[in-house]
Amino acid sequence: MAFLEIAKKSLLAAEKYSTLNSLISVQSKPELLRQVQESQRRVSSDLGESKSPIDGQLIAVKDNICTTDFPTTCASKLLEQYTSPFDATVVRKAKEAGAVIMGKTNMDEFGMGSHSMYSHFGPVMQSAEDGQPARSAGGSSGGSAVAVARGMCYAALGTDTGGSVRLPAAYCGVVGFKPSYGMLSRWGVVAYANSLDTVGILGRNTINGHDANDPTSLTPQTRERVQDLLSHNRRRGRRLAIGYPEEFNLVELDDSVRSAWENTLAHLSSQSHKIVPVSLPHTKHALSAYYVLAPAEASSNLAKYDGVRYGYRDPTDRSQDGLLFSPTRAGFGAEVRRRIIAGAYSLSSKAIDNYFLKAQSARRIIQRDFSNAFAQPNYLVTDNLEEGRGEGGVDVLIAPCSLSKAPFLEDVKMQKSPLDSYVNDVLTVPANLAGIPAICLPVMHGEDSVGMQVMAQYGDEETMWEVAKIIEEGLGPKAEQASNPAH
Amino acid sequence: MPPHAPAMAYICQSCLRILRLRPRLRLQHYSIPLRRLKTAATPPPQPPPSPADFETGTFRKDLKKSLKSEHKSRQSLKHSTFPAAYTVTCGLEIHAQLNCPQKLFSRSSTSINAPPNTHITPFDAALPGSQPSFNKSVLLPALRAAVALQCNVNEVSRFDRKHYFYWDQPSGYQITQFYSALANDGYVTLYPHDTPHASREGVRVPIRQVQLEQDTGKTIASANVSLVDLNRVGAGLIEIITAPFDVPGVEFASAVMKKLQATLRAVEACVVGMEWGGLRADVNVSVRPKGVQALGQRCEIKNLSSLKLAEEAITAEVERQVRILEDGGAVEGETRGWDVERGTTKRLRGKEGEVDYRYMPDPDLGPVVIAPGVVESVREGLSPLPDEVLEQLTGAEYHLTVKDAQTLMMWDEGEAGVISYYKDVVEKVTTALGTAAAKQKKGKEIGKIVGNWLIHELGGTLTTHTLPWSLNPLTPTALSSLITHLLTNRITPTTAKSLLSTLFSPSETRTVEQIIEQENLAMKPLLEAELEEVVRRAVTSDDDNGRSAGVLAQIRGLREEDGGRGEKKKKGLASFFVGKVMKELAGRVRAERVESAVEKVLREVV
Repeated sequence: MAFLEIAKKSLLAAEKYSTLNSLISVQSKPELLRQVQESQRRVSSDLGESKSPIDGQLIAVKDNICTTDFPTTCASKLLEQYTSPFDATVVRKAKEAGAVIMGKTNMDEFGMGSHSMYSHFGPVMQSAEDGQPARSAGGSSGGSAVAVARGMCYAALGTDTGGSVRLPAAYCGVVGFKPSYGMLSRWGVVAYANSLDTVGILGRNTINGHDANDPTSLTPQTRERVQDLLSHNRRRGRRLAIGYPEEFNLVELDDSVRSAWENTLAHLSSQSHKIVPVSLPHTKHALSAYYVLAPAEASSNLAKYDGVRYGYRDPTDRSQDGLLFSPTRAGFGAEVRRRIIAGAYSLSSKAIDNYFLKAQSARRIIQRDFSNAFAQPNYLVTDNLEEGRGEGGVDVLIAPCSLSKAPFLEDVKMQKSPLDSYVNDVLTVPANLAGIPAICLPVMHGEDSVGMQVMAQYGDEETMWEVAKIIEEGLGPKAEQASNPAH
Repeated sequence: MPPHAPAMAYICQSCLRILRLRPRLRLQHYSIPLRRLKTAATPPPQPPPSPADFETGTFRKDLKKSLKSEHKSRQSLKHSTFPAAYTVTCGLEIHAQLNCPQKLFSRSSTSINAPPNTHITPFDAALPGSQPSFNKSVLLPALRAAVALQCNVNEVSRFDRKHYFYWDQPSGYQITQFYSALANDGYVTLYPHDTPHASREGVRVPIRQVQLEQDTGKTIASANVSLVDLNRVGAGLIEIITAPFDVPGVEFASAVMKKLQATLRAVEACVVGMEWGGLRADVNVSVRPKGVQALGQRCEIKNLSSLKLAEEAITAEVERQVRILEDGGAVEGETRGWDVERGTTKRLRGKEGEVDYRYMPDPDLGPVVIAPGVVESVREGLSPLPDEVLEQLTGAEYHLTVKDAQTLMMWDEGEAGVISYYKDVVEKVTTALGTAAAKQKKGKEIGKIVGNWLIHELGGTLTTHTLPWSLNPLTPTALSSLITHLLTNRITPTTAKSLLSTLFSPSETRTVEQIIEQENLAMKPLLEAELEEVVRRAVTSDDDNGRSAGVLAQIRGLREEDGGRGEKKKKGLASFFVGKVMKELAGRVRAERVESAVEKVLREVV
């Protein structure tokens, strides 16, 4: 199909599903079509050449990733009017590859949430059929997942700090990929918890690469070294060892999710891969470690939103009692305020030893758990090929991405404690704490799909993709839908 | 007032240029204006100095003025010694701007008097999505400081965030080094030339830590609105933290600050001194009864921006704490500020109101790893420290007095190049004199004479012409030629002085040699008889409305009086004729010869 037709069809979808509230800003139709035509000319002319596989494709961008063409609000009142003077590196690279940015997607304020409910612009809904209660789109990149699922774009950018790409992907039945930490530049990605934040893709990967603007972006030398070392011992195209972490088999796991997990392992076994039970004994500390570390970093990162230089400023922000900027900062939503307070507490001089520092060591132990399970070591921290588990270790880990399929938003609103939502991240945060790559893909279970994730050792996206492909081909939604959910 | 919509021009052209070319910029010393930190509380703000002010020497005048007032206050403080029954202890935290053309974590250039908000990158303004990127070149001046302060440089140091809200701190936190600093455990030594409280072996003040951190923005406050200039945000600072040290008198504390400042400047770690606002100090003060070992409860006085303020604040704080103790009370640990108008410290916050900075490792920044050999090569390339310079200037090579050497060093601090100029002149004169140079008498060494000429004659003439050092019209060759002519008795001191004035004339292009030749300034080999003839004429003439005749009459009248007193009076009267003759001869004959000629003639005439 010609680009222009695809683009028009996507715009129709965006209009049709506007009640789902997945987009905060949308590019005007004439401008969008102009950009698409430009790509079309490039591709069809005799001299021209497609810049990349995403040349001329529509991409939606989560609204915490900076763009010069649209405001970047982070779904917060505090940045409602804010337009960045620069493009995020991932956006710049997507544009350079010919992609057309169609709009900015709705999310949980500053990425904090699991249902994309905590937005200044109202909650994202996965479906809004008449008479049907709306289901959660997952969070915090719910807008991106819905935009992809409903065919408004070819792919979307999200961010994954504790599962914010994979959980919405699982709930919406699309593919969500969280790369290894440090692979995709975070320059221009509004920080929630810097040490865990990754740019994730609901679609395909073309924006990988070193960025000097991002001090946590891996240098080309390190990338080369890690890939070189990994390639020595890869069991590529041979019989793979596939692990399932026993600690992920929680009582709270929905039956449908558990049986989809079993089906997935059975399918891989039928493809003559070895299935191995694996223990990650410290996984039980992952959620609490995450909910100490991420809010701590968030409380620091969000300190800058005082309304002095940009963004929302409360008209009464002239307090005489010495509490600087407090009326302005009351503009944060409840969840964000909750996490700022929790984070400030865990960093306070009385609590830091018991919370922040303990969580940091828990994080190290959890990373070590993963390295003890994989056949290859984490080459970021070692050069020694012998340090992995070798033959006894696994190539990838398979686990569900969510406890259940998407809950109804009404049910979520009935929850008494924010902890009920935090629990949703229990299956996704371990990969963030370890910095390893993970992809969530829909596995059919009866009429519905369940999100299953494939995790691999640091930098070993290649093996992760290999297994993901086997699962998708065997258990995914129909081939044409899976490869491009827009059609 | 709501902020304006974010402007697109958030980075200035020169910053962009630096991004592309990254030249090694050097701050020009003469372009350092006086900066007032306490814009709100200080007397009427002075208009910013225009570049023209520096050329016409206003800057130098200001420098002198500030030195003078500092001296005055020192004089008055000397009388106010600490209460004898108490020991006073201070700890210093000195913040100094590093000598680096770019900021600590961004590529924008550091600036001193650029228009507000023109040197800002997205990170400096804490725009969402921006990240720091460590500027390695900041390490060099910081390492020079650490090495000069005899610290152990840590192989690995890290950056932490220190959180507090203030409008001139855009990100809501300052990036500093809290958990592991750049360097630890150094010291600075004070000698008798630094403070009368030091013995000849010197007093060591221990330094606990030297760390890197970001500077804040500047608030320009007025009655209704506070304006914020972010140009300074993120510029590299070093913080130097001393261990607590006993302070025998308040000038000892300021001597420590001065010594630190001189050391930092000598190794080019910092270029802007305390009086220019490039250095700020927080001072911890505690007192305890003499003989008690345990330190008293300390109070911290924040943000003292000059030596004078520091001295005043410490004196007042010691008085306050002693008064509390004398009244049977207990000093509370608190943070205080200096109230300039009242001349007292005032409570900012108590212990219960203490800010919890919630230090957190910066999750974006990796550790700073100093490769092996870097510290050694920094140490080898280090410029001489102030004590070494002083030792050299007062040693066998230059023979300067400590006072003159310190004057030169202080001058050199303000206007770099003075000492190298001095050394150059000494070398040239020594070479010109050849073997004669070795015959210089004690007290008349070349180094000493050049020092006198530089400090008093050249320095004085620069001041009368209100010229900064950078516009000194005399090359080292010109001054050394002048001094060489003087020392070889080719010209008299009077001639030499007037020659110096001639050389200051903007239209003067001739060399010293040429001027002496053309103006016929060389000392005349006047024969004794000729000289006597001139003297005789001067004594007996009546070309000065009878004044000569009157003096002569007085001398004659002295004959009747007795002995030594008469002789003395006679000598005084005779000097009138010596002066008259010297004037007539335009100083071309040495005074001693004229004196003896006058004496001889008077004997004949009287």
